[in-house]
Amino acid sequence: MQLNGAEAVWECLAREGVDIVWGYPGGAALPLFDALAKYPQIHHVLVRHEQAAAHAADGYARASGRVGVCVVTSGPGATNLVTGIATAMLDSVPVVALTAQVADSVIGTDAFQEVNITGITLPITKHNYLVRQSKDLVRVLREAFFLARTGRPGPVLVDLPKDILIGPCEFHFPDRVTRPGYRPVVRSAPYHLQRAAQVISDACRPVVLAGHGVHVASAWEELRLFAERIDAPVVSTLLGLGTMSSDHRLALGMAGMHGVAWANLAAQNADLLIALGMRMDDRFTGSLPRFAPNARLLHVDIDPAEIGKRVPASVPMVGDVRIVLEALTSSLPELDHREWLAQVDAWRGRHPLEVHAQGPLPPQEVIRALDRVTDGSGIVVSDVGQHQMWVAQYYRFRRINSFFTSGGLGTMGYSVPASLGVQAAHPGEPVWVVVGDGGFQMNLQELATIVQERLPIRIVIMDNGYLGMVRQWQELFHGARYIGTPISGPDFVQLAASYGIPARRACATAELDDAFAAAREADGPFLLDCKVERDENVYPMVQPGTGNADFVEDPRRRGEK
Amino acid sequence: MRHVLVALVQDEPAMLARMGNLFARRGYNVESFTAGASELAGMTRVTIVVEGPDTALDQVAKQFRKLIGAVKVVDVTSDPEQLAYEMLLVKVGVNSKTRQEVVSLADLFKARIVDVSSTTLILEATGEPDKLEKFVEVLRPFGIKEQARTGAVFMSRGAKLLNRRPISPTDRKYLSD
Repeated sequence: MQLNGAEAVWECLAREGVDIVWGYPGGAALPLFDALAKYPQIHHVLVRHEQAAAHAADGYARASGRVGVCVVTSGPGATNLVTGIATAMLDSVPVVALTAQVADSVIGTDAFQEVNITGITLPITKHNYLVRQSKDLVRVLREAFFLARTGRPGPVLVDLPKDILIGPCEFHFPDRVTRPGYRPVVRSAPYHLQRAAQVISDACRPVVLAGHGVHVASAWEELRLFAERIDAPVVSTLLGLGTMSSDHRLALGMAGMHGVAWANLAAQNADLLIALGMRMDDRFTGSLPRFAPNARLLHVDIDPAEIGKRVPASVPMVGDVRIVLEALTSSLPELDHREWLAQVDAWRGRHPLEVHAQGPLPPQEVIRALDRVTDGSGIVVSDVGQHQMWVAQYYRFRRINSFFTSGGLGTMGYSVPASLGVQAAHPGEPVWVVVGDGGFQMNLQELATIVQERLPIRIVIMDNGYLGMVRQWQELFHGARYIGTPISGPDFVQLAASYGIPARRACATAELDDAFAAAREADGPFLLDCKVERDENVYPMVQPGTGNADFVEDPRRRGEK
Repeated sequence: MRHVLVALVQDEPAMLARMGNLFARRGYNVESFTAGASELAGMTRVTIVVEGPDTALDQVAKQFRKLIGAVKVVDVTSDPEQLAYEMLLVKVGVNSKTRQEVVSLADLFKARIVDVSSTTLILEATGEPDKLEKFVEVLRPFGIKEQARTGAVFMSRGAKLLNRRPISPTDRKYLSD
């Protein structure tokens, strides 16, 4: 089949099953957008800033389990993707980023809108390509999708010079893709399985640590069956929330810097940690020398480089979490850890999650109201900061794979554009965005895209006039000198109105249920501006340099403030 | 500790940059880096001598294996059966009195004289890095004007192969495309 390069690109995407892309055109990308007219099965969403295209593709990939695609022009179009690509890299999200490039003949001459985007993105992509010959184009695109979604997923960037897009391309779509030396191990060796089964049988206080890898491997059911079989509590990382319904008797919620006390105490006092698809991030472990001092570590990850990277593993298991869990569950008898679970319950009773905030609208109450209106089963996209931690603590996550946020990179401004993609994976269903007034102002231009696409996205702004998490650190560690953290903003209700989005403001706890009901009933997008207490801190908190058992609780809990 | 990594990587643009980035990002000091054709078409054999703590180097080897295009990465540091060879070119200042002495030293170290001028000699020597080090030391008093070293390449003695698992037919087909 004879096509031009641009048509070959869309043909590849169509054959990979892509039906939606987020993008922004420009000079070098003109041939690409021109050829799109011949592919009506692919819906292009025009965003308002390229960063949003990358986050939308990322949100779509997390929510759908498929590869997300963004398409932009050369130069500034390409560099605007960088934060979005790095976000996807840190959280192992399969994204294919297509960037147009100046013509091959002028590459390296500092031509108009030329930038070495493969050089720039080298450390933040799983792999990237500059296509220099038409004969490589189809193979490269096929490989890009293959690499993005297999093994430990990640972003792959393909740079497409304009003359390649215009020039002829003999289209031959290879059935199979291979890369020499690229063979992700999905099945653990029998020896390791036997050792793992032995170690689990020997443990008295086992704790399962569920990370993002459980979502990536779609191992939700296998996680539940495994945890039930060995009767062990399940602690989540931030991105591991929603791997197991919080209704389950074994689900403890999130541990780490702002983890709930009982989850941290369980992990700290365990004699065996079974880490599943998580990478022992510093926000999760606290001070490493004090992390779970009496625990052996059974570490399951598809990426061998994550095993032993921060915490040495007694039993290393390289493999796909789903396949490993299946094998483990079938090789283990029913275990009983009721005393250990009773101990964990006692901790839960002693250190409950309570709102001690004063004033008309404590921020935690906003999350509680969101939880009530969605019955803990909504699709939630959170930005980064204090509100993100309150969502992690106070939302119930009764639904599997329903929570999306930037974990590893901690990208403020992620939530609104990411919700475009999450929404595309859940058409027609309301998607709830929880965002601070700082993060919202980083990418609020996407309100126009939400309206353009008529998406039923509900944006809940936790509006406290501060960059709250940074302000909290200034209060605790920098003598309460609030430098650079007070932030002003427009009247968000009027702003929404100018985009044609219905909006409300809530200033007191009593108004929340009404406001959230209005948001839920809205026929399309809705914005809810919650004027929350300005000086509220997130507790519990494990302070930097301390261990996870030394969490600091809200001082008002004991009437100290 | 000093580590030696030997790798087979695909001969692709930017492969060098990918490897360089890997070491630079984690702040390792690369002592030498050599790259050249291997016995396999489309595959480059690279040898990297790097200084760093063992656990950190283990992590770098793992990250190296993750690079798309890295087909085989082996840390050969602890293999006693390694041959290590490096080439040295050194330009030594001489006069009529010292010339003969430098020539005899070259002879002693089995180095070749590859260029002669009235004030300089260029010597070429090949051997283990330590031996070359000693050679440079004895030449130093005469005045070393210029020195170039290739960095060491390593190979196991006997029948042992770096690429024990032969390249699969599909991979071979890919490489020949």
